[in-house]
Amino acid sequence: MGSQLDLGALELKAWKSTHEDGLLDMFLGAMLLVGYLRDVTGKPAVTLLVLALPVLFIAGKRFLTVPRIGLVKFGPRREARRTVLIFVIGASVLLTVTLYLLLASGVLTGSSARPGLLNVLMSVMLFAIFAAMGRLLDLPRMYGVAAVFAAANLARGFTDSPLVHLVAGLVIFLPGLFLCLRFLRRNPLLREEEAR
Amino acid sequence: MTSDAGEPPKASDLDRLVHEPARLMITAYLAVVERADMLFVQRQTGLTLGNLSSHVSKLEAAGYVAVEKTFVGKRPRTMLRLTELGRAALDGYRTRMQRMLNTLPDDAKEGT
Repeated sequence: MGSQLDLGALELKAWKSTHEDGLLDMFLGAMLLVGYLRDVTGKPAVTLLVLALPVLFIAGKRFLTVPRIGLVKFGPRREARRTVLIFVIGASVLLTVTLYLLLASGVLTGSSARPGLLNVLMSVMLFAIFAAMGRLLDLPRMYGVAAVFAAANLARGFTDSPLVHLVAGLVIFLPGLFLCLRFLRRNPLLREEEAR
Repeated sequence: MTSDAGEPPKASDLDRLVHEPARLMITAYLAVVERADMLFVQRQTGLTLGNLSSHVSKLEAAGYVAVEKTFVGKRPRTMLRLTELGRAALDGYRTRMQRMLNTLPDDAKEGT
């Protein structure tokens, strides 16, 4: 009892424990891998696989995470941060789409903007969104995800190779898989008499 | 129960129900979330289910923790929530404990 009970640190520890399952990383990495599959197969319909990812993510939380570490609802501060994040993502997408359309149509510059400029704009937006996730959700590894997403988008401006999405996707997905396996090993299912 | 603001609190001023380390951890974890089930508190505190149940029963009897039992399919789920009384008890405990620690000489605080 020599030190004061730090409730803020305790809340952060509890919060982070619910994000050590690697599911978010695998979800984001899989988005890029779907992009790779689309490029390799040449079928835009493959992009629809992205719609299955949120379902898999939610199922993973429900059937892998909650039975192992339990169910928790965090306080209003976390809810407020989530609302701010939704607003930031919405505003970023809206702003970028608006700028993209203005630049592409030449309304702002008098002539159509170079594709490189549009590519940079998209990369900045991607970085901003994932960095905001890292900041508002207290998940520092999202800064790395932000950098990989932005770099992959920038790289696609220089090359048409689908390998960009494959490499970027694996850079995010594989650490997520490692986190998930570690989470499963560290948090085995408890027998019914050990958990209620 | 409480000492005058100017006087250092006595050990007897501390809420013994909260002071016990396992119960202190339980109340602290419940203070930083809106609600959580037994498994979550068990994982965070490292207590066994029997130990946790015993401490939660004492906290519930004192009105510090509200317990809600539900079923998810056939599996029971026990949700825990710190009551206003429990939150006030934890806040009071922290304040008194901090004041007690502040009255210690510096070398005692440093453990020399």
